Amino acid sequence: MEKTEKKYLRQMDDVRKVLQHAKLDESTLLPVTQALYFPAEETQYKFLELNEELLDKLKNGIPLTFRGNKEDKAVLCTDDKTYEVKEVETSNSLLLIPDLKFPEEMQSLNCTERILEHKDVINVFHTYYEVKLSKPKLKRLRTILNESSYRGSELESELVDSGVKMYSTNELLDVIQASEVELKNALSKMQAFELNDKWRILEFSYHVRVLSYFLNLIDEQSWNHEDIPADEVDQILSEIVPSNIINYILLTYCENCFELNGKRHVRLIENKVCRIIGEELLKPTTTFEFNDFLRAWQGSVPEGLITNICQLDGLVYIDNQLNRKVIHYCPEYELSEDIAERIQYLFTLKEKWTFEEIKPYIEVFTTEKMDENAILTKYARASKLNEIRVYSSKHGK
Amino acid sequence: MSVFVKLESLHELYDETAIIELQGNLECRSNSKLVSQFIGDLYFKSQSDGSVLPVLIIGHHILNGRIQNLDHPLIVMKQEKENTDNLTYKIKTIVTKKISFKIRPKPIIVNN
Repeated sequence: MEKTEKKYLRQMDDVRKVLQHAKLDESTLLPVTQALYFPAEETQYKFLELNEELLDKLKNGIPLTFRGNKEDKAVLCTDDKTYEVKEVETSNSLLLIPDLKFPEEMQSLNCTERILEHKDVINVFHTYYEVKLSKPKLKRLRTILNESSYRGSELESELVDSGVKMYSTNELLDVIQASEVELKNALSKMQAFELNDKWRILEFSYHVRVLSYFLNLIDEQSWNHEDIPADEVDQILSEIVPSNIINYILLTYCENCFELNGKRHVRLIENKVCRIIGEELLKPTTTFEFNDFLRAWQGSVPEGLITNICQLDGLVYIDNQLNRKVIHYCPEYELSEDIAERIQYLFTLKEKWTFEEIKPYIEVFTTEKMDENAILTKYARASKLNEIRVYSSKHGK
Repeated sequence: MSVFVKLESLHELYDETAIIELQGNLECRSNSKLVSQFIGDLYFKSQSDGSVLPVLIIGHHILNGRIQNLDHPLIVMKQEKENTDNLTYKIKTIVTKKISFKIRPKPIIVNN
């Protein structure tokens, strides 16, 4: 295609003339003059600044993936980490030029005459993206799994008819801003399970109901909670609960003890059983007088299991006001994933927190470079109350 | 939505792609379009101490700069639609060097 305006092509005469005007001694200049031109047409490129770790992933064939919905802040994921992506604007002009010759190459040239080379800039840009290691954004995961939570086999067809979307691993990765490894960890922490290749969680009251069938059975059969015949559990309960759900409960709340004549024997995991029973008590009322709660809780767990307030880490906080000790239900996973926002909110719930009290609510934000103490130094104010170090709002009284 | 950033093969990358960094914007005095226009001549000048520094002449300005290795490599990518709904960024090149001209340009004074 003939262009209307003919491109000016740099000539050696012009090059020499300018050098003379500029009073540059040609003998001090390496033998290649590179004449630069603007592009004939700009190609739409994006520029992304990567650290060596991310570059190594790419070189090893692991793709990087931008994840999330249109309205989300962009994140870039590897197979096991999540990075926030930020646009950087510079007032400088950045000219991208391929095949540029550098001094090393020129010095190895054996030429007596000056060479004139023409180089086209392919893009002039002022912005690029940089990445910063961050935490996966998992709040949406719980929301979408709650919508399709499993409520019992008789209600499954109703759920399917309602058109609610269920997600496979890949479908989750399309909407959740997390790497695959982080997503799998989160699913396991949420005690999610795969049913027909879709990730599901048990609806809370159904979950507790099935668990209570199991715990009642142990009681009825007078089994020791450290020695439960798993196959018998499956056999008896499968009349009222699907086998895969019984297995799920066994996997979640028991650990293997030993095998005898090919029969599996399991024992209850005290911390997990106590935690969910405590949560069941707290969920409907959300607050409880502390000592009343401890009594009711210990009374609700199977005989032989011992409750301990640590088992409820990240689910509750305790408020000691006006000589009245109250326990509040406040699951960590329901709070903001923005660290400043979350800490600010915690101080509206309760003015002063000890380190042990606030730790379960901030440990998700810790990184190799920043532990809980560093987070508190940055986002809270430390003071002493009755010789105990407490943390309060940075901007509070 | 997932958008992949892929590196097909290291051989497909452009060789020795670099960035020239200039302060401010490049504009044409007559306000005409910059498409295909000549920008300037780039040289490398040997110094008395044996080092080599870049020199760029644009119009009647002379700029002295430095060759720098980027702290973090910059990948250059282009959006490509693989099939109807899969968006992919293909990596065109990885830039590790830049020539930056950060000092104020000096005018070339011609005395005939």
